[in-house]
Amino acid sequence: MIGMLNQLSAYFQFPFVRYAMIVGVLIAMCSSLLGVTLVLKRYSFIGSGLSHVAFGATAIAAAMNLTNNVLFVLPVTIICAILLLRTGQNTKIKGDAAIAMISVGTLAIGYLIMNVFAASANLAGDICTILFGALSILTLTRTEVWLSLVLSLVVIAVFVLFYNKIFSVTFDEDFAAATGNRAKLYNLILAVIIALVIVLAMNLVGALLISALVIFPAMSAMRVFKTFKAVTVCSVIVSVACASLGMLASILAGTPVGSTVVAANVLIFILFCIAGLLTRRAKS
Amino acid sequence: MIKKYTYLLAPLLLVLFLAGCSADAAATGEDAVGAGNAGAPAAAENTGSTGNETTAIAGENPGNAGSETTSAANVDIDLTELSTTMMQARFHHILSNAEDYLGQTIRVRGQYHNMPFGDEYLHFVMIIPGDECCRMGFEFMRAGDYVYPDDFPAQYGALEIKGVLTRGFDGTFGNFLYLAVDDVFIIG
Repeated sequence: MIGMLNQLSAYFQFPFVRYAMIVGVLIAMCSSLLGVTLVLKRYSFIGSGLSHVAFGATAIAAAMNLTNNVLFVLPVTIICAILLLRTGQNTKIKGDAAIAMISVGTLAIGYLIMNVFAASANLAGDICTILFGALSILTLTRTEVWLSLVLSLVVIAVFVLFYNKIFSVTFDEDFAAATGNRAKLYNLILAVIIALVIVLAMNLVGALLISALVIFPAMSAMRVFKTFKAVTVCSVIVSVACASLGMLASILAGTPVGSTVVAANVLIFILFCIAGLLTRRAKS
Repeated sequence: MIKKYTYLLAPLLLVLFLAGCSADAAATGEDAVGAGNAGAPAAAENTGSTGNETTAIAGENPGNAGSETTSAANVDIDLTELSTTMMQARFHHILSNAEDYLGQTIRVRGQYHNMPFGDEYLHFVMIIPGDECCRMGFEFMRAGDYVYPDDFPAQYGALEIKGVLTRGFDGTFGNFLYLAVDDVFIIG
């Protein structure tokens, strides 16, 4: 144990490890905040759909040799988020079908573009890194860390400042609109925030595993708590704990970061399920 | 409203605390564009080549005959003591900020690869994770009368080397990074 702590202490001398922990914690916080809303609105898979869009946009950015692909990926993802969240409103293609179409379409086109316009010697490694987030969080530059900090603060600020509006839009959008809340505006804000979180979270767990980061903390919290506020707070704590422990376990054991973080989330979900079961039995 | 700002203050303080902890280490230049992974056998940010500017590589009885590993003395960066994930991250940082690491002695253990180049061979030590997805490695060169294949491991054999990170130039590939090796140990 002492050896492990000494090793961790030595690893924390590296700036890229400290950057990874900072950004990882913030990403976990942001994704868990949005996760509660998405799960309750039955939009759990929008994270997966948007991450595939981001993958396709990343492929195009790589083919165009853009220095900073976030400047391209973020607007494209935001536009798709707005389109997806609006598809449920009087459109011919409904929510889940639209998500599926955009998701697989952009994934396939992104992979095609990366193959045709290969920009690096190790295409398989690059694709693997983007999809599974094996090493992305540990290879952030200082600019990327500051960008992630700013975007995370924006997400957290929006959620805190518009908490009541998000709450009302989450549970009953029609009632919220009928009582004078600008439901469409808050849905638009949600779409932008979701896109921001997805682009951030790709650094931590990769495009294929983002849904886990969004869904699992919320679902874990719902096993034990029943109020929106309690679920949200618990979700944040669970997500931050799993991300931190997952990253630490990954750098100690030499496992891929993204998968380890998701595995930690799965484990906590199982524990919370057991805790919820025991709590309900105790009450009855 | 005050409660809302209090809730906002907490994550803001957390961010400031974490940002305050991220003082830069000696190796600076994190803003450099990342070189990403180096696929085999492209071991550095530019493809390595012996050309005419470098001496051929060979290995007699490589490194420390009779010892179990290369010497740990005078090593600036020891990649052999890191976990696979940390090794890959450190390796990526070295490639991305090569100017800060030139002249430093690096010790690395990995898999031996070679690639024919004209009448000679290019030699690489590759770090390959379990999923073999994100391969990366260094080209290495050693001065002296070392002959391939007699003085080198079998292709894909285990190898440990210690050398100085050096920048070379080749007419075909331009600038490239390599390890000027002074200590080689063939593990398998």
